[in-house]
Amino acid sequence: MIPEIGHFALLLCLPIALMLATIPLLGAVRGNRLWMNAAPIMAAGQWLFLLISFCCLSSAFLTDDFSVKLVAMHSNSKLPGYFKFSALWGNHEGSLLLWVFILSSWTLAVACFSRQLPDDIRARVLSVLGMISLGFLAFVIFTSNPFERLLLNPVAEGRDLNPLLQDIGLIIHPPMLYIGYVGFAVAFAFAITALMTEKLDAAWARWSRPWTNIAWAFLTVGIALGSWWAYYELGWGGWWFWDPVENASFMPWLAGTALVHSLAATEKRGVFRSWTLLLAILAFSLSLLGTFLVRSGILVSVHAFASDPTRGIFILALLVIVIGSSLLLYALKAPAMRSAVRFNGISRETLLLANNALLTVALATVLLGTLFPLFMKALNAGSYSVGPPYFNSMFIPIMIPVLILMGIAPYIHWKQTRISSVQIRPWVFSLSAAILFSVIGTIYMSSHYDHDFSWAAALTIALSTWITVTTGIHLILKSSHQEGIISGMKRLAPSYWGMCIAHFGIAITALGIGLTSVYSEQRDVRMEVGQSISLGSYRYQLVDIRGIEGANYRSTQATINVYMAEAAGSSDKTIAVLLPEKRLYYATKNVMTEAAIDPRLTRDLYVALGEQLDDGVWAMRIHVKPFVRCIWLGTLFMALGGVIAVADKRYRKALLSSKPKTLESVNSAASATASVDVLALNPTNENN
Amino acid sequence: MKKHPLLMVFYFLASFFASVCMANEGKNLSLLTAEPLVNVEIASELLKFENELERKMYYQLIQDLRCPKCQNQNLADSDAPIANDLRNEIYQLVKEGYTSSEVEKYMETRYGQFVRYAPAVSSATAVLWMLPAALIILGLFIILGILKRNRSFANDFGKDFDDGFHDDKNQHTFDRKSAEDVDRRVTELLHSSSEDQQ
Amino acid sequence: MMHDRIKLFIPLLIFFLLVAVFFLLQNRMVTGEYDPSELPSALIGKKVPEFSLTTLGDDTVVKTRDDLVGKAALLNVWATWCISCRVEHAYLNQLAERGITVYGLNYKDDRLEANRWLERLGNPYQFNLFDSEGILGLHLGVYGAPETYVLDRKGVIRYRHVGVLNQNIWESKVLPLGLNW
Repeated sequence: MIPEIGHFALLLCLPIALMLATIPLLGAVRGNRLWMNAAPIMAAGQWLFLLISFCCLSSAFLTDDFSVKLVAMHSNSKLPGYFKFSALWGNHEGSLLLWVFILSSWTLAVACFSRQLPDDIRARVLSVLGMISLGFLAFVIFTSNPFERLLLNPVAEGRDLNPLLQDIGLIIHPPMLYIGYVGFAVAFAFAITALMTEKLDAAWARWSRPWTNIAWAFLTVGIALGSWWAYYELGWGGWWFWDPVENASFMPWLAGTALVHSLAATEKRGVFRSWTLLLAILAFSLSLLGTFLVRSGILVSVHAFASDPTRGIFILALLVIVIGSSLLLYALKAPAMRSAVRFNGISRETLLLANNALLTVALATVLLGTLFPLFMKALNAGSYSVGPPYFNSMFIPIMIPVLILMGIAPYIHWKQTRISSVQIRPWVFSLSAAILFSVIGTIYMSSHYDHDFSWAAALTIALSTWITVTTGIHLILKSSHQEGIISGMKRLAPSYWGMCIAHFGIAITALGIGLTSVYSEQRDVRMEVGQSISLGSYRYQLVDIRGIEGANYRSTQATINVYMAEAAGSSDKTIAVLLPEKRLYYATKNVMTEAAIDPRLTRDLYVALGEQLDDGVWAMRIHVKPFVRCIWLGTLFMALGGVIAVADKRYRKALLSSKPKTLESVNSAASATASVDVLALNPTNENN
Repeated sequence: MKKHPLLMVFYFLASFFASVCMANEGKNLSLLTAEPLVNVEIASELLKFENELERKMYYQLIQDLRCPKCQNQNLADSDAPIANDLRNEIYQLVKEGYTSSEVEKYMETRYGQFVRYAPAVSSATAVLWMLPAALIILGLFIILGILKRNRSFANDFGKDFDDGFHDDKNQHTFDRKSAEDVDRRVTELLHSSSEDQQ
Repeated sequence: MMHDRIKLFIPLLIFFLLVAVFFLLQNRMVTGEYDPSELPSALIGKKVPEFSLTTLGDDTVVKTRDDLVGKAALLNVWATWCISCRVEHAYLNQLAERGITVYGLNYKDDRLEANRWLERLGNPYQFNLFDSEGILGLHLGVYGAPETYVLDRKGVIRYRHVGVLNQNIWESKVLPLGLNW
């Protein structure tokens, strides 16, 4: 019964989404206030019914209702409860339901937190979100019904969740990723609204920025979680494979990163308007493209869902309608969005332009590399693979100038900066620090890991130091205040803090990527119980191999004690006990390698159990991965920065003071709304 | 006095770095005593190499070549029997003194260009390898074009462009902590610190 | 001005180009022409690599590439550990009865087991090359079993099929090659 309720609730969403997609929009066009104001209610209704639907499916999973096909295919009664719950989105149908549910949650959030928006703008934004929702609801209902029953051949036991997905990483990675992906729909809806109304001003940018930032922050965390999960779960010690599905999530991130920056320029200075719109459309379009690539089965990936081609055709049609019409709208309406604002060659606008250009080229490169094999197939030109060696050799050189610019841009003023007024001392200082740290750091690392002097490592450390020191100096200079630095820091705007923290995060991530790529060590060894071997500065001793029983698997577990290497006799202090496993899952008969990791900020020791070579003799793969933790640590800073920036007063004020009452809010509201009423973009402005 | 902020940053970073250096289990207290790697005992290694160069080459090759059977995995990461066979073959080739590009060529003639994660440069893959550079150049021209157009619109930088967006003066009254404002204060500060020196 | 407006259509054009590619491939997937995991042989149009292997039946008889030349033929890669090969075997028997030349490449297998398999299930092969180390397999670019190579009269590889060979494949892929069987 419960699955039927869920299915019914899902079906009910379709007409609601249809109404949401049309009525408020018509209301906005005809000036009917009642129709416009119906939007939030419909958004709430849609959310409520999807919530019911989602809960019903969850309950089917949690109560092992194997008469539901999805549960029978992807769950098992022996599965621990939290994995039963996450099994919901470990498959195509369920994850799509999650996708739509998250979209409706974003829609509801927009309805709730956009009261300060003019009624017609809010109505249009919600309508656009309703249209997207309509398309995806139709997709779920007509091609991928998660509530399908197995009426003819009921089964007593489910087939179990893919063991790779039985992991904490899978519980949180997809929701985070989807919240990010789908969140770009809000920026997209704002962009479409701007195109429809031909109105794009500072206020518009101020409305879009918080939504974009939050979506971006979630996407950042989502991607990082995916990378972390792949690192410890796949047992290969890799953290990024440039797999098509990874790229599918990375491309919207690149577009979103460019968008965050170009929105800043649009808000502050009114420049790049048309470009900002294109990026907003692009970020969401790439999310949809990713959805298509993952679910259509058109390409081969480790992560792709099992799929059938008819679904692919359906998403493709959806893609054509959503992206095609928005790009067409863009092409027709963008001339009205020309920026009338000019800026000097030496200005922050120019640097942000360079940042956007580089990010766009990086994006185009990833897109090209991902789709190149498909192009060649379509042309019957043979089978090609494009993988890590290509992407690394292309992507890294494009990113280096981005990192350099990051230390320059904050010091350059908006609009124009006279060369004579540019202070070069912070840069000279930062550059010296970068060189100093780079030399010391590289020499230290190279001697510690017995590696030749590495220019790549030197460059990495130099760039990270450069970003950190330039950002730090700027922060300190900016917070200097009569009452001391601390009170000066307290007065800094959250959006500025957000920027500094996010840039610091980039520095950390870059450091992690560079150092772990250069200094990682890997050895395949054979070990006998009792035997110990030295690798690097560590000694590994295989103490024991034994069988253990898990909830739904049987496992062979090795116990490896790690000691410091050179103090063989003197210090028997154990640094870590590693317990790598090889698991055999009962239901799927899959053998999984569970690597054991001893994590530190400065290095990971990573051991994966291989095959049994002889009685009591096992193959092992041992990795030492310096600074690999920094990669994910940095992304946390990035996301934190993105969220902190949203706390900025000017977004909150805009929210609270649609009808200003106090003198202070009159001022701020004046800056927020002046441009809406008076300075709304006027095509004739262009010619001044 | 004005130099304090810079020094603080420096000390902060220096101490951070020093702590990172020392964090390695308190073994290497200074750069001078940094111990070089003790290599793994040869006997327990599954694959034996003449030298470090050979080892690097082998591991790089199995990273950069794709397992023909698998979903999308390189030879290093795949558990498929064919991946194991190909790893062994590459190991033999490396031992026989083949260079990296020779090994790649060897695999390509048997399994097709499909196994190369970095497709060989050819007329077919020219777009793949050239487009990013071409786009960078195009982007450069576009930026230069925009700047040039801006200059032709306003040669006189003294005059404010009336663009409807808050300019410096208005901003000042609205929000004292605006970016422009602070940027100006930064400049002032730096000026005064350089005056201090003189 | 007009020139500027045209530029705004570039994203749309690129998008439609992508859609065209996707649509083409999706369509080919539906009709079965495109399978993302299928890998064409790198040796199409080339002669079978040189080899020197004993036969499965008799370890004193050595065969070389020249023994495959003369007639259009199939070279079927199989092994007793391969479950799909068993499915395929009946169809190979049928082909052999129809007078089609089938050579076998016994791939990474056990000689005794393989001979027993042929005794039990019938032997469609003119002779079997015994490749216990997978050496010829490697040179051929074999990545699993079963695989079937279609050779023309000169011993040139014209087509490779990965997976089970059946009547459908025979009619849609092998016969159109126009070889003189």
